[in-house]
Amino acid sequence: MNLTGLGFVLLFAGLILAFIVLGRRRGARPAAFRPLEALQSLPTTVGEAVETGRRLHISLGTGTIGQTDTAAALAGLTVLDQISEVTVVSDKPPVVTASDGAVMLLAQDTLQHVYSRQNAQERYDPTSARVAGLSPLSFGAAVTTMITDDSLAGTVLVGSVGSEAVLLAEAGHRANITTLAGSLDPAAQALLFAAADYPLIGEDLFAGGAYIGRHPGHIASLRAQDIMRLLIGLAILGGALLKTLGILP
Amino acid sequence: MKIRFGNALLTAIAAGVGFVTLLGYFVNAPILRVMRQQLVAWASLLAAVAVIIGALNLLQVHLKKMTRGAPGWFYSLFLILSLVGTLGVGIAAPFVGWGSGPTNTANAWVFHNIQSALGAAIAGLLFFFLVFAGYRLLRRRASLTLVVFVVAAIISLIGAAPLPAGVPDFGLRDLRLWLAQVPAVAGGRGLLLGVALGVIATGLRILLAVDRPYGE
Repeated sequence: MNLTGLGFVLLFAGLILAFIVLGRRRGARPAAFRPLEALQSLPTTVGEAVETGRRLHISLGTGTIGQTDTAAALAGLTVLDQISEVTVVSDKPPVVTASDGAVMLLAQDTLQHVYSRQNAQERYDPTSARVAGLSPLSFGAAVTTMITDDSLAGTVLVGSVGSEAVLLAEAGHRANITTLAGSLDPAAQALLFAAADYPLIGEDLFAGGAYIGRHPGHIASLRAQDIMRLLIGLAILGGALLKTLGILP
Repeated sequence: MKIRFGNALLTAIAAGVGFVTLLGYFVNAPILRVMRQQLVAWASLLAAVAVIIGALNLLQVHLKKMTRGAPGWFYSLFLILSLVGTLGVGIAAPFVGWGSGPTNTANAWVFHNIQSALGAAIAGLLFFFLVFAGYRLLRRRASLTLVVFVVAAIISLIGAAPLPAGVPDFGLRDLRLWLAQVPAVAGGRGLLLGVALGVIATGLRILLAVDRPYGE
């Protein structure tokens, strides 16, 4: 039995639940976030899309459900839910691209629920969420064509993506639209730092729900992540110290 | 707050399946291991069906684009022809003696001569796009992060470039090696740690029904 792993997960889950309960208390202090240019610029991009009557392109990357990059696709779906809440009322609702059938189905489901919440089910178009390409490079090539052909207001890429992200960011630059992008892959993050207007670095990818929607569960999750990071950092430092002193073998 | 039965049931199924799968990793009980393996097998089966749905969606989107004459419809025509053609030769292969299964001669030919070649061409373009992106980066408003990024990139490029014999490298090769082995590894591990915590938190939010990317 792996008690350390189980204990870690239980502690993490306990912290999330505790912060949710603490956040709901009367008189609880509102969460303060560190400045994050990419996510703070998002309302402006969304507002421009609505005002100019152009579509916003939300890409969930090449992640799949059931693999190691599932969490990135789920983070993208959270951002999709919150952005589409604002943009479905415009003349041109957002267009969503994915590389996996299951992610595309979840995106369709998310959009359908947003339309349902807005009492605008008749405006829902299932092809708004689409599979752009089934392999990473075909996905990159297809999205590039879409960005340059369709009249888009901006691209928001939140998901797992590799070096093909550069194609997407470059197409956005040629079409003169804003590109906000983040990926799980550190190498792709470095490429996006150079190519995207607003890159999301590291765990910024998972902060969308807390920054955009101020969702209590997501704020609690960010707080729990901070505590866990601190504990892991202390454990690493403690381990290094004990090893240096010869206490640990 | 009104809770619909269907949503409560979906949440219970998702959380239950998630907990059983997670416990199967940590607790060494045969029943949990068997259940976890069975659930993962079902998930793989669903993922395979989702690939077919994805291909049908791709076809639907491009048929719509072509019939409407939307910008770029010509590429959609090529995509549809390629999709139908590849599927057609894959199905016909066993009947004309090209072998069977995904590795039949026809599929292998399409993969090696078309898909791999096009993939390599697109990958080759990435280099030029990166050079342009690097140039644009220099024109952005300067910040400490930007300066560090650009200086590290230049040192890495020069340090990795082949120099003619007898030309001194002024210690740039050693500096590049140090950059790659110390600050880059430390930074990369920091990023991966943050990403891993984000991944775990996302999974736990679904297990705790805080996030429900299914139903309402």
